[in-house]
Amino acid sequence: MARKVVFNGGPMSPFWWLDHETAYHNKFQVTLDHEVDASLLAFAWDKTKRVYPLIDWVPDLVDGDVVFYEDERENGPICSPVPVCPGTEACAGRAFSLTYWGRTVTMSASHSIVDGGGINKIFSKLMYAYLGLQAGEGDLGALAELREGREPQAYFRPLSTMDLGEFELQPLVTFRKRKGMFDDLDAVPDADGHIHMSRIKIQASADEFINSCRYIGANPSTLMCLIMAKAAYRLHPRRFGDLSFVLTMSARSVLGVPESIANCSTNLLIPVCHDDVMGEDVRGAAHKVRSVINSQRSVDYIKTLSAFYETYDWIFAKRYAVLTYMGSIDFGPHTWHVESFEMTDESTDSMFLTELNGEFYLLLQFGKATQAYTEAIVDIIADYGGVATIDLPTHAIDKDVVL
Amino acid sequence: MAERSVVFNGGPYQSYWWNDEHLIMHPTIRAELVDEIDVCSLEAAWDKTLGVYPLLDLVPRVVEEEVVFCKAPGCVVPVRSSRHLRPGTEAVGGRAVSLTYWGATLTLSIYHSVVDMRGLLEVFKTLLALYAELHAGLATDSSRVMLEQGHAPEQYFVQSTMLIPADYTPRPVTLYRSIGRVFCDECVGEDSEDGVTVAQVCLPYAELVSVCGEQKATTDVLLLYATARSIYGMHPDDRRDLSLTVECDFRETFAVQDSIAPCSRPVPCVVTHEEVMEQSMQDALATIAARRAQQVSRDYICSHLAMENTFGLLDLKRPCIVMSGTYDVRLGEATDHLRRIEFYDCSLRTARLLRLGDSLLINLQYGRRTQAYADALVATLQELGVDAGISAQPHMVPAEVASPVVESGE
Repeated sequence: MARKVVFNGGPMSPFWWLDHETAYHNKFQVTLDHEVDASLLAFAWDKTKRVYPLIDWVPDLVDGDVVFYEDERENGPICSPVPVCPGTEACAGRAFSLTYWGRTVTMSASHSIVDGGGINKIFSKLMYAYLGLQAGEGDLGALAELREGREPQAYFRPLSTMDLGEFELQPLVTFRKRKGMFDDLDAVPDADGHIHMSRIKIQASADEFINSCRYIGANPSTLMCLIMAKAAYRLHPRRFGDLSFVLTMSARSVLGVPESIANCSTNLLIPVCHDDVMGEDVRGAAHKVRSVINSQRSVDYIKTLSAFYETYDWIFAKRYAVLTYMGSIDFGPHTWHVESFEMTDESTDSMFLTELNGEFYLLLQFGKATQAYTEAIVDIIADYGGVATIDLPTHAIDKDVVL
Repeated sequence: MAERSVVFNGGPYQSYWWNDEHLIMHPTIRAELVDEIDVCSLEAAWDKTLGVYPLLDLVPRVVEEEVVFCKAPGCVVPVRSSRHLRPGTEAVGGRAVSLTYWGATLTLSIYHSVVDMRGLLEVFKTLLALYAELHAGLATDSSRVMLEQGHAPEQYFVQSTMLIPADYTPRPVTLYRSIGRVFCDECVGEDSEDGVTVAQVCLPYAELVSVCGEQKATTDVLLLYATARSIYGMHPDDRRDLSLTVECDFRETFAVQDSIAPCSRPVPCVVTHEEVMEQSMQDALATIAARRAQQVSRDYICSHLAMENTFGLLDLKRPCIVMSGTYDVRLGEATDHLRRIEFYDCSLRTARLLRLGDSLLINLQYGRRTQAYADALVATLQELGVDAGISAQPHMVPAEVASPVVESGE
């Protein structure tokens, strides 16, 4: 049966094979203050698919390109206590699965199609529509947030397929000294292959939190680097070598594709050294980290990184952890119906910082070492003069299942 | 237990380690001498060579991503075998080095984690000088080879991972704008499981220098130009850019000239069809020279090294040649004892340059296309006025083996 390609999404992402192997796809989950209304969710999901028709097409590989086919099968919300693996029969081969159970709604997505920023856009549209409907706002069509009928090129623009055009090559950030650099050997899945996570809540309003960051000359990304570095050295008191973090950043606004749901993240490299992080001069340490971050945020730098990936294979710098500041979770005026939020993936070395309803949360995924980091970070925030509590104890993340 | 036997920590390892444990061939020098190997002299010369480089008589291991050298029972001695022995095996006491002889031929190979090609050549030169003296009483120009015993390991084993670039202005490194515009000859293909294909082009060095003088070019720029012209000539319908690559040696910049450890990495120099085939020779040479000139500054070398050390090892996509520096095998009288020499490993698209006598030898490895590349390079060099020829027709060097073979294998 010949299927018709409706869209060619360009060269395959290296995440393609990972998507087919892992049981831990990129996943957004919210817990609401009420039992999910299945029919409203189905309605909102339909609406979301009209905003992004690509998410209702079936991806496949042809000659190294990701292409999309139309498919008559239905991919509605699935009532399931566990998330469903994208790309499987239960979600009709789509790269996205949507499940609900009790008060939770979960979306799991293939990383070869979208990154965390992309899922955030899709999930936000979905929840925006759902919460609007739930609040009795029937006329969703009038909302600019939910524009329909766009061509896929308008919202599917992977960073890897962009023409770099003219730009000035920049020197890339590098490590100072490799000898002594370390990572955490316990930050791995447990013996049964389970991956763990926990959530810390910072007991301050968003404004208070941002103000205390400013007080030491940090922004949220810088603060994440400092906290993580302190945790690393605290948990390894006999290690003094340098550390490096990957700070993921959406390149959408820098490259002028703010609407893209495709993979548009860039990895900033943040090396830090023991004496800076563990010394008395907190402002000095914050200043250094912030400068390194800022130096990597220019259009030329991000394009240089793209050229770097064009030139070399298997680019991988030693890293202690991957840090992501997600910004605030915003589903519109009814976001207050969301009681909690989780974002997870298949990593065992990551920390996400996010804001929900005016409060900040740290999501930790450090495999077997998750609990140790959770406790260390609560203490470190206290050292900084803040109050943090364990909001969600360490537990195994649900694997995506094949129904 | 293991910790107690560690004699020397060589610092963060490089991704060569996997290759060393899995590939069929290691960095190798095969030399044919003027007469049958004299085993007594060889054994004595090898013993002294291990005295110059005692790390080679230890067993390397990777512990927490660092190469450490450990004491272990056994030893590595010259073995009579028609097939070369695999380093790291029981037959060589688990050492990273293997030395075999057969008839008048000597073969030396060492883990890439322990030496790069220049390092391998230094070890070979030491062995050759000592052997020529013991066997034939030939003198060596001692300024050209390390013969003193008893150096501390850090004097001759400094990997590039241990170098710390400091006090330099970071420069952007050469990058492709789009991989789609870079030529790749898919026909080069992998070598077979049984061995690697090598050929050798030979040219009179004085003639090369004289042509370079007329064109005001350095020898490496002229050789890159010749390579580019021969590749475009072989693929007349392909107008994509070529990624010509030259090995950047970190030793001089960091004053670790005596290091035998891996201390060099390829740096790409991209040229276009227009530059090489449509511009005048003089302009083309000037273009390549200008690009290379940036890459030999201290700032650039430090910047490239910092990148290599940050990203483990950078694995360049689509190089059409990886050209080594020009290594000198001239040792004075001792060199007279050498009839032929070959220099290879388990790689593709490589050209390794050796100065021997009045000649420059270019050891080529282009897999199944080795013959075509060797012929094309010779023809191009002749067009440029250098009387090049093929000194070793493409042939397959069989894979290393785990135990000695004492029947004639050739």
